[in-house]
Amino acid sequence: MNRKLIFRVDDRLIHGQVIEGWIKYFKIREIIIVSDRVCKDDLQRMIYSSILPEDCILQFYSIENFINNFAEIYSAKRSILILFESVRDLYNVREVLNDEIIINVGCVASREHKIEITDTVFLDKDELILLSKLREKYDIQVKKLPWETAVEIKNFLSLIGE
Amino acid sequence: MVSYLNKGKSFLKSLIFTGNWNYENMQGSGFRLLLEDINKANDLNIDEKQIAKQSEYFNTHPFLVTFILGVWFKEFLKEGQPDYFKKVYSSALAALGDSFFWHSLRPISFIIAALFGLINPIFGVILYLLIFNFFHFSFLYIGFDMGFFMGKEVISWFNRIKFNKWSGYADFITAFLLGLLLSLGLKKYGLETINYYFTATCFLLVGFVIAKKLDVLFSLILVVLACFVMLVTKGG
Amino acid sequence: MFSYLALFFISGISSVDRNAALHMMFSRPLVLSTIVGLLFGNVYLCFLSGLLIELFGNIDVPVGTKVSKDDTFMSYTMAVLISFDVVQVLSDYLLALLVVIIFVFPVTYVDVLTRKWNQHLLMRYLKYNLYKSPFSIIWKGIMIAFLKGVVLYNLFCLVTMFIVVQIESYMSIEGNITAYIFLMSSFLAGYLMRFLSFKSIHKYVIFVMGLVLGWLVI
Repeated sequence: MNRKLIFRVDDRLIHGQVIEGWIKYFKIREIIIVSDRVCKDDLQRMIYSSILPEDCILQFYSIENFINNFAEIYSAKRSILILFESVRDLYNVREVLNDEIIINVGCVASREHKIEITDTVFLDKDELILLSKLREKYDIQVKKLPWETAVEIKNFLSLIGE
Repeated sequence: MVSYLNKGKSFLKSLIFTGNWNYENMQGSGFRLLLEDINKANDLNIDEKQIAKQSEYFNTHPFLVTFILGVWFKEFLKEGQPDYFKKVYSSALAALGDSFFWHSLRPISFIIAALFGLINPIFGVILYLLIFNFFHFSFLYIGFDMGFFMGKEVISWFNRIKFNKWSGYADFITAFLLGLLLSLGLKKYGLETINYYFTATCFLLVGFVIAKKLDVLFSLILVVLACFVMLVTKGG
Repeated sequence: MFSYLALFFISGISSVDRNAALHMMFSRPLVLSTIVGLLFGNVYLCFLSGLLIELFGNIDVPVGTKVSKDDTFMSYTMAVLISFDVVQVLSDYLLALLVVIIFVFPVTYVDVLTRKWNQHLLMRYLKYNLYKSPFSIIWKGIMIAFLKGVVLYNLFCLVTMFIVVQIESYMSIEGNITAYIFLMSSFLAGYLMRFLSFKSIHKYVIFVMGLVLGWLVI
């Protein structure tokens, strides 16, 4: 089966890389944003719904709702791009992860005290600890675009010297 | 609303605001520059700490930055959430802008220019610059007014003009014009032999098939090498 | 003399247009090649060479932080080589194209370095001049891009020229350059078709209609 189920951490949610890279490249027609914050903000939901190519469907879930509805989402057997605003949000849905899911950390902006992983991914100590826990069970691809070679990190904790 | 923007000057600066593009704050320095200019031109006396804060991370499509500036000032003056909407719109307009300007407008301008350029290259090039920059300059020029007038609801203006569909329409036309360009080019500049047309068809089909499997630059290297082999084995 | 000065200026401004400011498409291969061709003659071949390289460049979209391969450099060098008669026969053209494609890697890497340099300027600015206008670091970024174009494009152009001249004394095979340009363009057209986003079946039908119409027009 050729369907793609991609969990992507991107603090900008939908932007150029997501549309030009992931959506158009894999011809994904279904996108889900998992964010408690965006779910509560009508205007932001309207903005994100307005910027997708016309044949795409966008859905919004809070983290709890996403976990509760994941079985139904998973059974759809279509390619779906699922976007999280932060590593913590991704970690909070860890119970639904499985080996079929592509986990991608694509864009986390630079802030003070963050460690540069790639030119678009800057993570702090807590985020690295969470990723290292996920990495014990699953592959994590750190890359911004699908056709790039992922930065292979076996031990995220080594980045903070632990 | 127009009084908030010394339009000509800001327009020119919006052409250079990406000068410090970097991985740390992306276009943040440029956004601050544009914001400072409008602040000074209108004696708004925005607190210097507030201005300095604008050097933080900011990235959007460069041709749509003035919309975000307009939204920022509108939100700022009515004591709303300027920085919040700056962040939201920077992503949203990056998505819209990349889809239309980079993905679609560039190829369609190019193909039209190439078609007319087969008749007269200079005319083709002028056409390229005119078509592309008509959209480029129009959006940059009206962006502040539109952003300021509509504020955080500016997305509804993009919805009204169905901007997210423009890319699809443009790509559709480009597909047709690409076919036209290819057959005109092959007939006008190619060799009038069955072998040549057969080879060109094979090249086209191979391109279709491997397009998403192999990076275009590596493919180009392989094609140049294939042409070399053909040249050496068969002659020109 | 004017032509040479203009050429230096063009190399600088096209690098600025591509990387730092303006974005008015002077740096696009079709435009840049034709302008260089206009300056030194042989407009048609420069135009067609630009067409081929731009077909490639259109697929490599500069989204987000992605640094796309420097097709501006490719078209500039090819146009200069054609204009200065370094490319005389088909084997020269293919050889030059191959060398230019290889050199595009270091040239593109310098794009990344200039962004790192901009980052360095920014960090200094944030540390020492936070309450001053950022105009100076923006201006410096533009000047760096200009210098990059003047120095790097012309340096690699000269090296390419040297390599091609050396090899062409051993191997020189004549052929129809434009016919081969459109042969390679056919291949890249396949890539571009896959890149365009529209419902597949409609896209391919309309493309074939274009092909047929073009065929019947002449």
